[in-house]
Amino acid sequence: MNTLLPLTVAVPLGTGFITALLPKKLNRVSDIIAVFSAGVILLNVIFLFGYEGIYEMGGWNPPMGISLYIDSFSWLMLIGVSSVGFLLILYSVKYMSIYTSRNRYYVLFFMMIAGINGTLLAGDIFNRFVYVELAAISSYILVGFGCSSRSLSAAIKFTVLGALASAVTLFSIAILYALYGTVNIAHLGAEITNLHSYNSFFNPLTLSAFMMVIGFGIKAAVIPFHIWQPDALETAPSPAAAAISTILITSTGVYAMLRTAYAVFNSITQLPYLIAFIGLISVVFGTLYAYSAETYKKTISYHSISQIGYIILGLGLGGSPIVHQTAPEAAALAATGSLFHIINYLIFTPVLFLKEGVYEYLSGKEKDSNTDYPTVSKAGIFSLAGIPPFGGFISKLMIIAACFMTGGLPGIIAGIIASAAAVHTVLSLTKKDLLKLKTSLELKNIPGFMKTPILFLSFMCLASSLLFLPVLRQRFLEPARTNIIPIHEQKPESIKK
Amino acid sequence: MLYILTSFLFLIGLFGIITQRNLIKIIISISIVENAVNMFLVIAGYRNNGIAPILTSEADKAVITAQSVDPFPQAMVITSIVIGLSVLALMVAISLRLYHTYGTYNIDEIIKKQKERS
Repeated sequence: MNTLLPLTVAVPLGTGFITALLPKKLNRVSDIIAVFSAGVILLNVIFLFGYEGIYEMGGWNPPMGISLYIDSFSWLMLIGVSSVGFLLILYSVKYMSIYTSRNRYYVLFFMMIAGINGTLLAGDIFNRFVYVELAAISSYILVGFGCSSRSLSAAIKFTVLGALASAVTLFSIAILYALYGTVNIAHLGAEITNLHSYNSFFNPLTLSAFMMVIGFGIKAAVIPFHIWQPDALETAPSPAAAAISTILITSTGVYAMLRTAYAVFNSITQLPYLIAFIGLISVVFGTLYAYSAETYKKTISYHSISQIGYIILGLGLGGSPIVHQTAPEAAALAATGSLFHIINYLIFTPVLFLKEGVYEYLSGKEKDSNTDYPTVSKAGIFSLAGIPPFGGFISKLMIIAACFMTGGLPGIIAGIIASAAAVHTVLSLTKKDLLKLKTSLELKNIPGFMKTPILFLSFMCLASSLLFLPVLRQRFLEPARTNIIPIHEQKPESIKK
Repeated sequence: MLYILTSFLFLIGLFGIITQRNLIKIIISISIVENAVNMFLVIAGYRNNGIAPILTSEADKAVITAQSVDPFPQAMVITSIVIGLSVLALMVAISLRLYHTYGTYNIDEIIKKQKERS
């Protein structure tokens, strides 16, 4: 029992309530509280490093009680989420002064962080669903925070799709409960592996898995379900857009989808292919849509869809049982590359939104794609495009190389398509003049609170490529990979009637 | 049988969300979908001629475990009703603001007016 574990959810929740009570005049106080508690969450997560275990809430035992569960993969996500969250809070201190009620913004932001941390730690699927909803409801309001007519219509689009996603997810949980009588992830996984005796492909279990993928796919904004994402990211305040596009999508979408798919539905062998296929579609169509996007923020949104596609493609490939048997190195490489790409994604996407926020802050209105940007923030674009020394290049290369290494025809086709899409990403960014090195804005004009996060994240874009070194890789990425990817053993012959 | 009926209700709501162009009708469809799922959960824990799972004295324990309906889905349903209510309130609030701005609940007209303005 580690008491730091529930604190990762309790501290942001508490901060949310405290900042909600503060009057508007005490904006300065709410700034201080927000930065302080974001720092506390970060420290808390750092202290949890290397810890693996279960925390039983209120001392109730797992099948009936609620439990929090942490392992290397959740820790990797937690550290990413809390450090990005801390930097975004630092940025918001200055940026949100162009809005009227800053403390309300902190309330929503910390509720979102509480929901996200809970999603990463929850030990049963119903609680994960509740935490996802907590994060999602806060993000609906954050999208409509400006109360301009465009942000409101983006918010209603997001809310309708999000409500539909949550209903579909809940339906899937209800089917699982009706079949197996438990919602605890570990118990459910064991029950399904033991009792999996459906002979045909069409059965309630596959329906439930399919609905789970759709529900979390809407949250992850992968291609067939992406329509809320570009509008929402374009109209939300910049730090909120950065938060939604990175920490919300990767944890309540990608993490929740993959964790449920591999921990609960691990006996459905076709599911990883469906996930990898969705990823491949997102990779291709994300870059294609980005080609025709009108504004800078929309371009970045579509590109971020395709980057999420790479992550899902790699983890889908790494989890599929046939790839595991024929080419185990390929599966390991794909999964490690995907985890690496999650880290890179968490680093480079905020830079792209935050630097746009600098312009909004300085000029008071949105700019289109033809403006110039300070050179240092180019690191984000370079990492997204996959220019060699940056982290994005290595992780993308790992995923594409793993596609080829599978040896089968579908894998090679997927590899060719993915690498073509990677080249297309570079081309479309070049066409929009986003890859040129030009400086028109003096760094000294930018307030320190906004400059520090951008500079730090830009530096990390380059430094993250160090994670490829075997020492760091074995410390951080490999344990996380063994946590998420199920070990496909030769199953004992299931009961056939 | 009841499972199929609730699934049918779910599909009706889904159909409404996809085909309707009026914001209020979409919101109603979403409530239908949510209620269908809630009913599905309650049915999952139901037992024919079951009694309420309330423990009044220690002696009842055996009777309760033998005859009562499953209380766990009911706890889940209450949580999901609360979530559904807050999302519903949020959607109504946003669509009211949209109505004040555009004077209509129709999505097509809102999009048309948005394009005219920009």
